[in-house]
Amino acid sequence: MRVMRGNKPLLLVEDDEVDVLTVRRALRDLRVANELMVAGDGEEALTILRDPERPRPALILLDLNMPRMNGLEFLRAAREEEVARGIPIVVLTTSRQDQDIFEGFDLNVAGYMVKPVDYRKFVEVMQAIDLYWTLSELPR
Amino acid sequence: MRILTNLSIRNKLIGIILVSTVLSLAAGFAYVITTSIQRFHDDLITTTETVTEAVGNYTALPLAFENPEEAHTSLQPLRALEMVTDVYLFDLKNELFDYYSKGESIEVPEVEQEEFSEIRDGYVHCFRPVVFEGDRYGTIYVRASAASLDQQIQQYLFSMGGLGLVLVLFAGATAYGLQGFISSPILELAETARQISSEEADYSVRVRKPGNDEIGELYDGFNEMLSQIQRRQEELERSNRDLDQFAYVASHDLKAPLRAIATLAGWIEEDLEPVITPESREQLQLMQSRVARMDGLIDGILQYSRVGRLESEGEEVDADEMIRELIEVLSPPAGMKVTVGPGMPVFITKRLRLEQVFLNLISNAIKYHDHVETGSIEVGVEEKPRELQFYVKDDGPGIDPRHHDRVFLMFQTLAPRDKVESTGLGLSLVTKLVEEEGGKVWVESEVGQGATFYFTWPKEPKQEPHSYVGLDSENG
Repeated sequence: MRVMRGNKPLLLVEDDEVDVLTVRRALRDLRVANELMVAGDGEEALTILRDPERPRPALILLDLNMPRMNGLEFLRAAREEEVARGIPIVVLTTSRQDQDIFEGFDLNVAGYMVKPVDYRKFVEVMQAIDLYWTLSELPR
Repeated sequence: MRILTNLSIRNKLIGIILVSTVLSLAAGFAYVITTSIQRFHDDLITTTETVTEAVGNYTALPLAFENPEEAHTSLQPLRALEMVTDVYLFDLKNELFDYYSKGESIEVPEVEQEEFSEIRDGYVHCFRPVVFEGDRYGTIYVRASAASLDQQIQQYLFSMGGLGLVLVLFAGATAYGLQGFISSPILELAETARQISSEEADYSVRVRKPGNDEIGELYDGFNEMLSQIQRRQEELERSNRDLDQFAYVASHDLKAPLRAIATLAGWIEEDLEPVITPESREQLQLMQSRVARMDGLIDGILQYSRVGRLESEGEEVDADEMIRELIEVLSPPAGMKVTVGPGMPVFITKRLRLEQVFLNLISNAIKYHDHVETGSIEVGVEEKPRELQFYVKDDGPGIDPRHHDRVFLMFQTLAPRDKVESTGLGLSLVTKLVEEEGGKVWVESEVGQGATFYFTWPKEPKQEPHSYVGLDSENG
């Protein structure tokens, strides 16, 4: 068993059920033990982040297309409220075009992933933000 | 006659004015010259008559007193006139009384009792009675040279000719200068029309009205047409953009749930691995294959709707090279021979479209072949007078003539879909592409005899107004 550097949860902000399942499965296949918190949209995510009772996530996986408050709006609100300070954010986009839009935003975005979530890509991005090591591993 | 109608407007106008002028001048001059010459004629006669009669009357007394010497002296004034060549004096009995002759002829003319004058053979002949106080004493005849008349007429004609020429030139110059009022606006309009019909069509130009006449109306009409064209062009572009966007979004949104279905089916299969029955496994796999089919259909439809709007310019294409590249991309199975015939052109054409056509035809030839390890496909070209005729020939199973028309329709496949995975769109795409270039596509085939697909393609890209370049999808 690998030494865990942290057992913090991951926050997934995503409205599509199948996409949520995909991330869960990817994490399971990568033998990552961290808990996955799921918020259905930006509002829910902000609520979770604002709550002092709940642990701060080690990572935020953010979908862009959501009802009520979409990814972009969440990013702006989070920065304003400073609730996501220090937490790396990986943006899940459905097309490469969105990436260009985000290049212009200095919003603490640590990485991009194009849906569908490809397991290899998932790992690559995690490694790139050096967080893989903070993800705890499941017992075999 | 054709030459005349093909003259420029400017030249026609100048021509018309000149013809009118020349005809009018000709008529006028003809009249004036004729009457003037007549007058010269009459003047000469009148003058001769007057002089003859005046001098003649002086010989009355010498005649009366039968004095030839006196008569001779009286005729002196006439003899002094240079133009007078002969003077004959006759008495009442018409016998020659006295005469004077400057030259050659001494022929005695017939005496005319009446007063008589005429110009004949270049001479004026004049008979006058000799009269004194109402009594007649004889007849005098004078013959004078009409050379002066000839000279006068000649000079007159010369100067009239000169004047006529000057007038015509003047008319020509004026016509040349003034025709611009009519021809300039027309020529300008023609030039603008020519520009607009050319490659770089700029529909935003407008022509400035020269005036409020019929040409002005023509200009108004022209500008109105341009506005309409421009408007339609904008509508067309907007409509194209909307269509592109719609197609892109639709395909995107249609594909998302498909992906989910396929993923979930995969997960079920994975998760149930230890306990799954063969039937269930097969069912899940069928589910995934149907999803893949639908994905292909969506791509096919998207492609079909977008084709033709991506490319409107021609570029130089080496057909041989292009086809060989395509064959490589398609990577036919080992054993299958794909050959490219000679005579492949290097020409300016719309590359992407031609590629699409070949891609579909060659891919079909490979896909539907029934003995790929030993099959052969031949791609060739035949140059026709006004177009190129390409063909893709295979020795596959062939197509029943019954189905020759059907295969080109949308969503038509001949092999059962579970045997050969196909969207049924390839040939309809080919048809659309080829027909848009003004060509035709057809097939020659019998069952068991392979199939040859022919299509004609223009040697030069068809001109068309600017098309909108569509959006890129993630699949390119």
